[in-house]
Amino acid sequence: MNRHTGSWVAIGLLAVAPLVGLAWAIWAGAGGADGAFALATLGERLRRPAPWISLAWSTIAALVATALATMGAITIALAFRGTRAADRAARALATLPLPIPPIVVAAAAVLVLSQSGLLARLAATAGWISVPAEMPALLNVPHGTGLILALAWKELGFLSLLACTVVAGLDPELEATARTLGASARTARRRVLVPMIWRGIFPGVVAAFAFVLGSYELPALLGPTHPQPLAVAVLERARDADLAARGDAWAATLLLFAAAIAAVGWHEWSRSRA
Amino acid sequence: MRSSLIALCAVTVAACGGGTPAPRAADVAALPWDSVEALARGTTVTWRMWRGDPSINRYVDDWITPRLAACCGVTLRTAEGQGPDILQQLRLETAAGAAGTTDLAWINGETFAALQRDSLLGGPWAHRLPSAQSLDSASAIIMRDFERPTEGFEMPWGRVQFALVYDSLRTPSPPRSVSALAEWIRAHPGRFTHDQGFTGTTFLKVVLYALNGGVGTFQGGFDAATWDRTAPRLFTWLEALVPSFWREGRAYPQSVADLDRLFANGEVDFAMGNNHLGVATKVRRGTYPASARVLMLDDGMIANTHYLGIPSNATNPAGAMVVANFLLSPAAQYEKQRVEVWADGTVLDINKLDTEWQARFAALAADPLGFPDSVAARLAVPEVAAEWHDRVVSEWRRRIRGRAGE
Repeated sequence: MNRHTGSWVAIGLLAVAPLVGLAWAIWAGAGGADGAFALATLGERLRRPAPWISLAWSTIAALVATALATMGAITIALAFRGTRAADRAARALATLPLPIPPIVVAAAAVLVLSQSGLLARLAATAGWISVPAEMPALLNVPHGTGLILALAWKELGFLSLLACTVVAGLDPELEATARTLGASARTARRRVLVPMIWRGIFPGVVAAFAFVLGSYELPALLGPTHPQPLAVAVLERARDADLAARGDAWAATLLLFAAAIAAVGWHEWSRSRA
Repeated sequence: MRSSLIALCAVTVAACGGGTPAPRAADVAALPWDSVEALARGTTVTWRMWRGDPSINRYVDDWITPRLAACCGVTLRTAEGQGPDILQQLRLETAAGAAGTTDLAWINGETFAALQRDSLLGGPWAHRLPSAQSLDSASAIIMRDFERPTEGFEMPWGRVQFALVYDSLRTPSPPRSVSALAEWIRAHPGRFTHDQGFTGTTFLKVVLYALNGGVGTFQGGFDAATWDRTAPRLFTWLEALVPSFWREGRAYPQSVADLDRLFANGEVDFAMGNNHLGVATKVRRGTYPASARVLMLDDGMIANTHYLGIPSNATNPAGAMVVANFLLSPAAQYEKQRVEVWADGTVLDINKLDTEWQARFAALAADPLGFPDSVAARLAVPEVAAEWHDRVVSEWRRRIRGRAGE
């Protein structure tokens, strides 16, 4: 097997899993699993507004969470890039969310952010609100504040690890040269370091976005009842006692698949322009 | 005797022949019980069941499994799977003509109806179990699964009854009827909600029954005209009250566990559950405060039974019957009902047991955290055809949860 053939075999192997998944989702979404395959069925399922509303809500939540985590990761990587113990401790703390299971993050979010949580109790103790229940709701709400914060915290571990690694590999002369040319420290960071870190972590940002877009545990526990986050809507239908609802679930997974493909396409397009 | 001999020959040939199909549950059921036990000895039974509750898992893994091996020489292997998963798997296996991977399945309601509709259950067999002599066979709640007669195709295993839960310190005078509950919700905005799962839907069905003259209106199978006449009363009731629900009805707990947390944290004043006996368990575990108590509304609270079925393609129906027989024994039923274990109600008629077991079950009923058996029995109303449940779910999602079409 020559190198050219080997490449195609490798591409074929990599493509098998997503293509089989895609084919199954189309087949089942079109009623094939119920013994009545018809593309019109898939079309009818995809014309319903509910999965699109769920996709839009989940995409916005994932974008905001990823943006927050990216900003946090870059800030941490730049602010704590030294070799002092405090810098090392800060970097380690920033990566702490990485190994914590999402279900634990959700439980911690409930403990802190719910209307009977620590934040509400602290606010009541401080006299800002009269009773904890007066705390504005942050969880299970349409604006998704608590969920977005929890997703961002979870992503922060991964992205700060990447950002710190990129910063550690940067040539220190770059910033020094910019300063020599008259740039302020802030300008040098903003115009030289941040773009280089962004370029280094961009594939990770895309991966983190795709991951949170399709994640289930945090949206199920912290997300709104309506609109339903897409992953929650998919699983609800997949587990429905009415087996016909499973076709709805498969049709909705096509939307998730399309969103993930769009994210990867965005990444490839950006790379081609770099 | 002659039919038993013929069945024994058929079963033996089927069991020994390498390429021949496994014996059918109905053929095995025709054998004398000692022959069934002999066939089962030394075999493995795969029991597909919901594995989501550690208490149930402990009961099955630590109490049932070793005793079953000791008494009957049967190795019990559990596998995860419930409702639609079991149905889907059996449909796929049967369509492929493959040997079954499930010998015994924990099922009820709509799953039973769907399995029966597709002829995916073996039987009849349940009436042949020696332990079945002690079943509470006079109870329609036990012998009819969501109105469908079990007819020996599934064996009653446990019985539960829906209940609300309140904190006797926070709510010393709880409402005792659906109409009183509505007044209470209006007077205490933000202090009531229900979950989005099976338990929440059961609550909605309790209200549906109460607002439409009782369960009798819905018995006799699903009827679209009756639905069109009765459903508006439920949804009008809800739409009027939802602004007084927790979060003004814009959010609902995903599961009953989430509702338990809201209740325990004092965010709402009522929890609910499908098993009124389980309230004492949750108090002892610390899930609920010590002052939590069972509340049953006078309009009637839905009771239902869960069952064991043997798939038509099961490879070891004899082993499955021996397991089912053991699960129905007074010892296994008693252990299961203990609040420290699972708190799942028995399906046995206590009066059919010997005096020793009668005394032991009576002692369980005397739990100070419990609810009087006689009152629970008086308020028990049966489940109706599964289509009613499905309609309540889809209509609630459309009218109450979703502002956009689903």
